[in-house]
Amino acid sequence: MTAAGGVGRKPAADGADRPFRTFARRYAQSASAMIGLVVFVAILLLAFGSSWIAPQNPYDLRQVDLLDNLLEPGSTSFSGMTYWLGTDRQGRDMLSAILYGLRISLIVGGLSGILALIVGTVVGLVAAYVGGRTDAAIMRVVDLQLSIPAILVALILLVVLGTGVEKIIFALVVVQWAYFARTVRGVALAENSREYMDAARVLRLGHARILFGHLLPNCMPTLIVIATVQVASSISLEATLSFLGLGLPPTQPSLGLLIANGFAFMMSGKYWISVFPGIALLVTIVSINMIGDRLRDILNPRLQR
Amino acid sequence: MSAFILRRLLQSLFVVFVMTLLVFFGVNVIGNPVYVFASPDCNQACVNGIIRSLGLDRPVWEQYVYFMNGAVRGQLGNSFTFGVPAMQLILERLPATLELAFASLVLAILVGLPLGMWAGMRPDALSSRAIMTVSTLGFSVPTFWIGLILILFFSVHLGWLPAVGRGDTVSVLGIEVSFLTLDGLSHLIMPAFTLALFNTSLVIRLARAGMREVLYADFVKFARSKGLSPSRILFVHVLKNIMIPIVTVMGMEFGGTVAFAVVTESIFSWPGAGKMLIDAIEVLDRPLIVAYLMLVVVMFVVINLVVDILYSLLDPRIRFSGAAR
Amino acid sequence: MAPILQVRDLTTVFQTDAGPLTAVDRVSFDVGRGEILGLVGESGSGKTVTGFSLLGLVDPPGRVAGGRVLFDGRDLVGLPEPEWRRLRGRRIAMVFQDPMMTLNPVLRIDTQMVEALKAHGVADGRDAWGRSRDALGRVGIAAPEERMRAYPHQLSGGMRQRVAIAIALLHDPDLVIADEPTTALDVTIQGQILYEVQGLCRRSGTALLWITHDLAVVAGLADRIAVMYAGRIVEQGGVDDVLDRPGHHYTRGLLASVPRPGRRWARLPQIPGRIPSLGTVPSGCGFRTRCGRADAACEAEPPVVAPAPGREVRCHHPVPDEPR
Repeated sequence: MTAAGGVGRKPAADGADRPFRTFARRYAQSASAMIGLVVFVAILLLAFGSSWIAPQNPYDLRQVDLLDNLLEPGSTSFSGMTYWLGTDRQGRDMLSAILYGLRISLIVGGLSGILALIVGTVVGLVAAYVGGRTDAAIMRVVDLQLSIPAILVALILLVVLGTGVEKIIFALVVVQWAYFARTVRGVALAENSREYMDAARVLRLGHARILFGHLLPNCMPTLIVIATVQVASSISLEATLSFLGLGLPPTQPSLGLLIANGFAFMMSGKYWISVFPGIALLVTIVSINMIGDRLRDILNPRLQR
Repeated sequence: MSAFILRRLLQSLFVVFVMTLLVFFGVNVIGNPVYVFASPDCNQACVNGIIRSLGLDRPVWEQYVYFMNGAVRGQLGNSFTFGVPAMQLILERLPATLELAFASLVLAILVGLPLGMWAGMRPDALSSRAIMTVSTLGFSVPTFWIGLILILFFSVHLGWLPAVGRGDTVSVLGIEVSFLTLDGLSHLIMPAFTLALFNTSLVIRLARAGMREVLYADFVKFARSKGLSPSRILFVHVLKNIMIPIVTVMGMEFGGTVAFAVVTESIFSWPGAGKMLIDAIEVLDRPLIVAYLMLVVVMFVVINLVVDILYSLLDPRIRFSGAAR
Repeated sequence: MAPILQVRDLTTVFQTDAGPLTAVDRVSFDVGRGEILGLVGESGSGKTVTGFSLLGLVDPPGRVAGGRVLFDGRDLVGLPEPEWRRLRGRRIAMVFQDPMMTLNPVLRIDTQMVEALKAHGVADGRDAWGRSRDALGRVGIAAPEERMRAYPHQLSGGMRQRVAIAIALLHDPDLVIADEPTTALDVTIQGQILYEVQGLCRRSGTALLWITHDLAVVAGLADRIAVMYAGRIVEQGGVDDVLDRPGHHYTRGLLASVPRPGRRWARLPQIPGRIPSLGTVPSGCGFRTRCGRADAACEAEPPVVAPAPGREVRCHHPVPDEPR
């Protein structure tokens, strides 16, 4: 591998000038990865098209009939609408509630993942590039952060901050940024010692140019892999926190809150309120992880061993 | 060696200090607990009385000094709701949490170790791939939902296992434990399994990686050249080697498991400290929240410290090659 | 008396995605009772795999694909695993290259010695412990009582190799296979260990197959020598014979590239090129692409020339016998 090639840019024999096509072809070689991708895209479409696709807007009180509460899956309302996945205590259609909840879960998970990526990357790059005491201090904070369980940090923050979309996103970023920072620093340190970095320094390129023009692109493959996994785990963590009543307010119920709401009814055999949102959550997380696994195989030979 | 211990000790003290700052100031910013206690017909004088009795009329830093002064002596104030020392309440509930966390770690090793070793021995077998897929899921799937499904299936549908509580307990050395009675065990198994999912996945990974490494080590081949039986090689030579990292990681995960027990205890109404925390958060019982968080943080720091020191004492090889991970 | 070990056309193959690779190719040699045979070759020549093949310790994807290994008159190839286990350690023992890696780091020395005795049902606990301690003493370890209770990392490299040798000699085996046991050690310790192993084997009548890349070691140790190149034995014979009058151009090249006193300023001759990796070995004579004497004839399988009894050279154009 040439020094400037980096990991993600390793030219393949049959598609050096079309890296994306090579990448796509390699990705498609794994059946499970393709299934994951298809399922995830479907979930995205369903979630972000929920306003149009969902049979009802479950948070528009005019569309919800309290008399239809706790109906079993497949029941029909007075107005002739079929509740394929049943209704909850307020008479909301579970299918619609799940689609709306999915959207919130995805937004929270995705946004917090991206923000954590940005924060962690900047911190990690700076640590690796500046080095010395700054690096040592930053890494000490990172170690501290990583040594405390995520759930505990998130609990403390949410107890302090209260509920709300922006608050849980903040908490999830605090929990996750250190992973990115540590990884980026590791990759960047390795890249830093390569020849093309010496070349960039000899050419007296500006700091920003070296950091973002040279170091960052070479960290990207690793970052993409971690970001994928982190989005899945932050969706999971958000659901867990919402289940505990610490994440999102009842006005913006994510999947976790839906599951929590149904928990009370499970003992009486009304399983659908908890089980279906849970399945939606499971499928989402698993599909993201399937994509992430394949990305790791393709983009990061270093992790294969 | 003593310099190493001293440095780690100072580091740990610093972490605890930072955490007290964060926890105390954090918790004291949240909502006004007065309104939890003030009945609707409570007038201003009544409200002021409550504020004084809770010490909320002092400046925050003064409250902190007062808090730290008590904290070093293990006194973290009285619970707003129960009116008894918060630390005492948490400590009363702690054995249940520790039992759950410990049971889940044991379960994780009992289940994860054989699976991981199998996957390491037969990496290409279908069964091994299935095991690895399950372990991938175990890392990412929200375990609280698995807990719900377990309740739905074993408690609601089959009616085999109880869904809530601890069941009968026996007193061992003054500590109530569930796992020694059949009834207690039937209460323990589902929460412990739910809590163990993550660690089981971790053990599977570690055991598999360990097997891949150790099976091809020279010392295994040398052991075979001595004419030892396969079981002796597997259960003595290989197992002892892969157990070192597993036990170490499990030790470090113990704090995290205790923290995550908050979720499991909420699902199964396990009467531990975590359940108490969630209840306390709902009514903003600050001293109780602070007491729980401080206890877990201190426990966490102490566990890490002990594991680090033990590890470097037991295995001098570590001292030369730097940190464990 | 028949030699303790007779290897005939031993072939060991590794199954890979790119097809089968032959690591050991129709290798034949004998080791007499109490004899020391030096098996010499560069790394990658297949000498280590040969050693493992003799003990049935070749791991998949490798396997012994052909030939016979007659040990005390009995063919070991295809022996069921329990039978192998009864032989290993008791009648054939092995010493490995890197003493840092051969002892289990988490088990005490006594555990690792006693289990070797117990594996063959020889002794009860206390008896086995005493025997192990005495074995440590015999390989020149001072204060064996203390060392028995040590963990491997508490011992030096030389000490660990002595422990490994003591373990190999515990059962007074008929044959010890030693795979470069002194390469990883300091030169002074190397000498001591060589001397001791030689003495111990002579005393107990144990035959020794000493695998090495170092001609100087073999010169002072072995009775006979076999030179291996690219999976084949290219030359064998008495140690003085082979070293003084090499018949194969490879052996000659090897000998010429050893620095020796009195030639300080002369440039060391080197064999051009490098040993071919598995799968790239040329047909016919494997050495022909690096050999100065090679011609078209060498593309055919080379014949075995036997200039004297017990002396074999596998070459189309053996080096003419001329005293140097």
